[in-house]
Parts: sequence; C-alpha cells; structure tokens
Amino acid sequence: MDLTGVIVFSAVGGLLSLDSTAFLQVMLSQPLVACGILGNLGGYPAWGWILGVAFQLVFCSDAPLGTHLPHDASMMAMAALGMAMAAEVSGARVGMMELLGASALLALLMDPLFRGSSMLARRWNGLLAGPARRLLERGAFGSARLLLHGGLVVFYLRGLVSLAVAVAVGAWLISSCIGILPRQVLHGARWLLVSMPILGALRLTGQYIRFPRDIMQHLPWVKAR
Amino acid sequence: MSRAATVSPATVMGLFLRSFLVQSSWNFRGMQNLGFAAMTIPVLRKGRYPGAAAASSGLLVEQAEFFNAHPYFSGAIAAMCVSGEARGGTDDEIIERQRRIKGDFMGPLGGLGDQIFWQTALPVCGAFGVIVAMFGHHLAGALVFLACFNTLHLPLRLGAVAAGLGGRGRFIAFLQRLRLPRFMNFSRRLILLVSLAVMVTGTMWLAGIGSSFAPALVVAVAVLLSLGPLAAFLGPWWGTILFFVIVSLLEWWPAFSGGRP
Repeated sequence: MDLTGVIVFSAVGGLLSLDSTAFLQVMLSQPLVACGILGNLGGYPAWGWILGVAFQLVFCSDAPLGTHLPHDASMMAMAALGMAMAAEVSGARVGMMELLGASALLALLMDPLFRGSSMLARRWNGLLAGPARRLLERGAFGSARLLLHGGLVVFYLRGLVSLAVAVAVGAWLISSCIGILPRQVLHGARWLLVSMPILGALRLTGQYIRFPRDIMQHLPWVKAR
Repeated sequence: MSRAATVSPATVMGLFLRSFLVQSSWNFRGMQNLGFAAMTIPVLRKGRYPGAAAASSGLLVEQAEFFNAHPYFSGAIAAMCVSGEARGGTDDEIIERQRRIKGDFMGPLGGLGDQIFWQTALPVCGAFGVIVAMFGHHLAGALVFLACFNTLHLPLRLGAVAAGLGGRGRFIAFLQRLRLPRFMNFSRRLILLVSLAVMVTGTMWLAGIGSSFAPALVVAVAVLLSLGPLAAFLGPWWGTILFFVIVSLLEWWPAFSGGRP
C-alpha cells in the first residue's frame, strides 16, 4: 500500500470511526464490522475478519461511561489491519498469523495515540459552544446549526489523521524490523493474537465475578475458616 | 399551542432522526449539550414560536446548557423537554420545567442505557456475530451482529422518543412495560454463558488458522490455563503483556519449539 492507499484507507476508516461517537452509533464502527468492510475493500477479506474477531472479543465489554474514554477498539483494529496490509504490500515476508499478531501488538501499543486524539477532538469541540451560544442569543439558528454539528468535522479529521499516522508508522516499523526480529518474538505475537478471545472473556466475566476473590471464598477450607 | 398540535408523527420522526447526531459535538464542558440543542430547537421554534425566533432566545440558549445521558435515551429526554414546553407558561417556567426533567432523568437513564446496551446487548450480540463469523460465513457474522443489536436498539430508541413526547408519566409507563429487572437477571447469566462459549471457540478458531503443530483444543486449554491466572492476578493488560513475554521466552527453549514449522 503506497501513500495514496494509506490516505484512502484512513479516509474510509475515519468515516467508519464516526459511528463510534459522533454519528449514528449503529455499531458500524465495531471491529467485526469495520475490519470486515475495510478488509474486503482492500483485497484482504480474511485478514479483516481475523483481526475483527480478535479485537471484537477483547474490547466488547468496554463502555464509554460518563467522561471515561474506553480503549478505542475500532481504531486499533482498523490500524492493525492497515499496518498488516501496508507491510505485506511493501514486501514483508512472514507468515500470515505472525504478521497479523505483530500488527495487533503494535496497534494495542498505539492506543494512547487514539485516546489522546479523541480527547483533543473533544476539547476542540468545547470551543464551539461559545460562538454557538452567541448565535442562539441573536436567534440565528440557521448559522448556529452549523456550529452545533461542527464537531462532526473535528471527529472525522481526528479519525483520518490518527489512523493514517498509525498505519504509516506501524507499517514502516513492521517492514523494517520483521527481518531482524527473532522467530520467537513473532511466535509470541502470534500467541498474543490467539489468546485475545480468552482475554476478552476474562474482561467480560470480570464485570460480574471478581475473580479470583469470589471464587476463592467458595472453596471449602476458606468457607470453614 | 396544544400538545396535540406538537406531537405529530413528523415531530417524533424528526426528533428520532436528530437523536443520531446528539454526540456530534461531544465535549468535556457541556458533554452532549450542543447535540441536545440541535435536537430540540427545531421543534421548539416550530411548535411554539412560528416565525418569531428572536422572542425565544433565552429558551434557545437554555438548550445548550450541560446535558449528558445515554445517547440512545437522549432523544427521549429531549422529547420530554419539548412536551413540557408544549404545556405553555412563561419562558422562565418552561426553563425550570426542562431543568427538572433533565435533572430527574439524565443520570438514571444514563446508567440504564449503559447497562442495557453497552454492558449487555453489545457483548452478547458481538459474541453471536463472532460465532457466526467463525463457523459460518464471515459476512453473515457481521450482518447477524448488526441485525441483533439494532433490532433491540432502534425500536427501543424510537419508542422512547414517542413515549417521551407524551410526557414524563407516559415515558415512565413505557419503561415499566419493558420489565427491565427480569431482563437484567437473564442477561447476566446469558453473558457468563456466552463468554465461556466464545472463550473456547474463539481461541480454537484463531489457533487453528494456518497451524499444524497442535490440535486447536489443546492450544485453547493451554492458553486458558496460562493466561487465566496471569490476567486474574495482574489484571488483563499486564497479564497479557507478561503472557507475551513468557511465550516469547519459552520459544527459545528447544523442547518447546522443536520440530515446529
């Protein structure tokens, strides 16, 4: 994937990422759907589904409660897919699962970038409130409406730019380092990908069972004490 | 202005459609305030002050005050505010009524929506979609996920807006008809069951891709036994990192990696 490919990928990914907060929220941005769409568009449908399944399972229990920003699962999944596709096109010769595992690991590490950009976008949106209020005081609702929805543009640019940066940097890192890394590290990345459903299930059940405390207290010798 | 004149199907549909944009300008200071204003102002201007927007500037500005609820229920709160406005009175009375509605419903509906949608419907529908994607057609998995989630979400959202336009009494009756406590008890058990199923099937599926070195079930159990305690004691994040490091180190052990492709 060349620079144009990265920009087109990020433009579509940015549109899908709007669904997570700013627009619709009909779950088009969930990793299972977003990666499926992007994988099919990019010519790597199987990769899209594998990464979509893995990220969907890990982050399905994350909830944006109040001002808490959860991990940006959709951006991480799309970034992992973009990195893998770009690295493959630029000549990284390695097994599919190893490549996907390395991309997933890098995408997980880039979570602060996505969350940071999301926080920045939300701060900028706060700047729209003052002018919108002044327009409403004057009764100019037509102009105020543009400002009231102005955050859509901010959120879209945030998605586009952060995804493009993550894909470009990640693909460059993978293509440069994949030949140097020992085989064992790549196997570790593959195992990380394989372990993601279990991690997701643990996070999900962790909301209901405070493991291991709740289980420990049912053990006979603990009960007896 | 009578309530009957305000609550038309077009009003319901307009509020419902605009509620999809309630978080378009989400910000830390007012949260969903700008989206809420964009949702209610067209109805307020059309319903009470046709052609006289300047007269209602105080009321319009009030719409951009702090607001935060679950996005799927924010349309319902907006509808109740509009319904309160349609009962008439001075601007100050209407503003006071709106503030009371917001104060009464923002927190409870936020918690309720988080519980119903984010912590129950999303994981369960996602798990169904993933299972279909793993063992059926991939595209079908995504479609099943979208269909399951939105079959619950869209009618509930539309019904809440329609009930909210009838006033707070009608909206509370609507919530009571949903029998949410029973739904919560059932969903809690369902989540545990689904997560166990997905834990095993998902790991087996991923372990089986492009692999010939071990039966997938053995890999699933091995990963479960090693990652489970790590995640339990260190937390999911650090547990995974340590798991990755341990597996990478084990790969240097010849007996562990010997003979593997």
